[in-house]
Amino acid sequence: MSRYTGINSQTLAGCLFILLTALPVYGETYFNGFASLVIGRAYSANEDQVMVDYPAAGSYTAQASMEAETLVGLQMLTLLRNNLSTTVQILGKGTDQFNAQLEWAYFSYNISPDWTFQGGRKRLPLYFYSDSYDIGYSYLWIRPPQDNYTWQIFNYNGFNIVYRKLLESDWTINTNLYTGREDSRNNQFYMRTFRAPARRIVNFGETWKNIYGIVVNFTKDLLDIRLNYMSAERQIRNRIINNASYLDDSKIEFYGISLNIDNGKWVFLSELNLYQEFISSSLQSAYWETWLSTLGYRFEQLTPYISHSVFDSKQNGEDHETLSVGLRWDFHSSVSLKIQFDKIKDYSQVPISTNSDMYAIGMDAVF
Amino acid sequence: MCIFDSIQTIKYVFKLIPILIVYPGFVLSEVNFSGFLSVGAGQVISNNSGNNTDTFITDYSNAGIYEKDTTYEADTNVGIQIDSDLFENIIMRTQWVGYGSEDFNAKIDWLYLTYEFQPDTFFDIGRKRLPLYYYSEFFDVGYAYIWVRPPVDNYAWQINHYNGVTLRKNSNFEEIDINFTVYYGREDSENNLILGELLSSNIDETWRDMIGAVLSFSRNWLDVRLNVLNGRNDREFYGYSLNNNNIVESNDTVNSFNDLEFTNYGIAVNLDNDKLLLLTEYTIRNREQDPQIHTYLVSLGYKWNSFSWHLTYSEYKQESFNSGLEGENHNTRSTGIRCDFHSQAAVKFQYDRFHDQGGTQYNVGGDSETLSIAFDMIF
Repeated sequence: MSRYTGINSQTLAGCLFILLTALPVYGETYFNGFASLVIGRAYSANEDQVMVDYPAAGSYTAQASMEAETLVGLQMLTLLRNNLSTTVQILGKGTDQFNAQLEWAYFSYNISPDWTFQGGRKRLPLYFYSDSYDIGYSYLWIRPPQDNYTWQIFNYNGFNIVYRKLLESDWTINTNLYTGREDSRNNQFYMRTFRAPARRIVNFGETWKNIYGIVVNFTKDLLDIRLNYMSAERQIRNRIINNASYLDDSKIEFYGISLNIDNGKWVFLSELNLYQEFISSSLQSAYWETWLSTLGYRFEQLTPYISHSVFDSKQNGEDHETLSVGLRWDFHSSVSLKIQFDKIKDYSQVPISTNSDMYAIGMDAVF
Repeated sequence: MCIFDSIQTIKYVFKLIPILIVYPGFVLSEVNFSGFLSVGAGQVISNNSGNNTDTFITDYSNAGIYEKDTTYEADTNVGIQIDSDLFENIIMRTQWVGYGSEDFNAKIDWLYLTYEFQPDTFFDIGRKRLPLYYYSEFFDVGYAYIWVRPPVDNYAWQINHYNGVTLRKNSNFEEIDINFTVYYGREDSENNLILGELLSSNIDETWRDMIGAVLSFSRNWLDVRLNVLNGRNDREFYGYSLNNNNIVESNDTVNSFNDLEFTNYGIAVNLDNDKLLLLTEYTIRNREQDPQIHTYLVSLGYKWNSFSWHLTYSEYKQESFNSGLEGENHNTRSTGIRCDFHSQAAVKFQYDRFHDQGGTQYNVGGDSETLSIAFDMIF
């Protein structure tokens, strides 16, 4: 599988081992990291903000900014005896003033060569690029297309079982069955949307509980197919502001499919996600779909690409799309330079972003 | 005296780490990394009415709470410890922790320099755990004890650290190890989590001019620990409102207070002969204007190969107010099993029956029964 078709958690672990051979070894503990330095600017009317990173509420306005997408992460992998290992990742994002956040903290226990049991804090594997979302180096664009990667809940705590097998037909199958919950007490997306005092806990949060999900990944040669399903109960909690809107408990379901093809020259990336929500107390329901498609071509170190992504709630609230063209330059084995132009259209009743042109230039590194 | 602004410190340390990694020579020779991880899950299984909210507070320091839907955050935490030999006789110890109940913000738990100026005599300066209890210093390291968590009624405090200076002396007398610690410091806890949760407000809690001492003796299977702490307590309440879609803060002067003196005393006696285990702890807390608080725990354990079993009782009892109003009063009966399935990892199951019998204003969730599981490891 070529590098632009993304990294899921299992291949991430594999990549780690490759990277680590060049790194110092402390007993059985290995360190690696990643960083992205990105500068960008939107050309929007009225200096409105254009959301580019929903989980951390990173956005550009009509002033050039390096905060929205700049980040640094460090990962510590410790191999214990008898098939047990721990992974801890610390992340600092420009939008959060580089406050250190423990993004991953989980253990892996290899029950057999095919089965692994894991527990702790992980990325919620809703999308193809969820696991590697913060590692700019691992994908083609400046960012995974934001119309598709819109959730303010991005991690969860819980347990999962991974099954992976190389079949005789040369297909590799990788299955992840998970359950868990996320209580995002001071959700960054809400905090910034409501301009909360930065140093304060306002308890404007969102909970996804009783999460159950499955991801199945098939790969063979140049093909990578990923199917996923998740169901959960969703709750928006707001302890302090009594007059702000509450969302009753609702039942949510998420379906996703992605198909990626990479023959070493041509790269085709696609993803389609369906989301539905049902609030039993008010009998209200919501439905939307998001999708992306990208085509790129490699000329040695240079990869130009064109991309289109859409968030479509069937004119029921939030609707926006983005057309992007960009260039990735792999001038070094672990550093890449990217430039990307976006044309964003927001048709939402209450705009999340705005109609705007936007550019970003970034350097992504893994170390 | 506020030696460290912890948020600033986190930022500086965070910015420094990549630099340390880039110079492998430095890292290899002088820095040692270790850590711990606890992954817990649990839920309240009882179904009550009245004042009961069907919640169970498992971690007062970090507002870890179980409820009727399975929760994975209340007993989940992670820590990374970095020990650096800076010069001869000087060690810097840094520990970062993240709690499930706090959105996994990385926080500095320990950050101090230790100078051994005489053999077995140490001077520490920096941020440390407040040694109020026997398990204070490794409260987060689930692997270190038999329970899923230290018994909650005894470990029900809102301040767990101090920034200041410490003097420690280790000695030995007729096969008895003796440790003596004396310390002075302060802690400012902005947005104190458990007070905020229990009093439904945003609260800044300060314990200052703290001066304390710990004396411990251990010999073979016996371990005795005495401690005392005196300090002053300030508390500020804040309210919130929504104005034009902006959150606006306001100071609530009615509930805020200043300069209340408090004194804590504690004793712990533990017996462990590698087969049978008896753990006990008793604490008294006095604060001006408040009735006295007593907390204690008793735990009996039995070890059998890689399995351990425990039966535990803990209680928090505040005496009645002068007005006749009842104070906070609750107890927990627990039993559980620990299985050491790996040399650095254990899995535990525990049942807790919590009884909340305090005054209505001091309700901490009501009666509950809870089942929990935890995977604890050190690395």
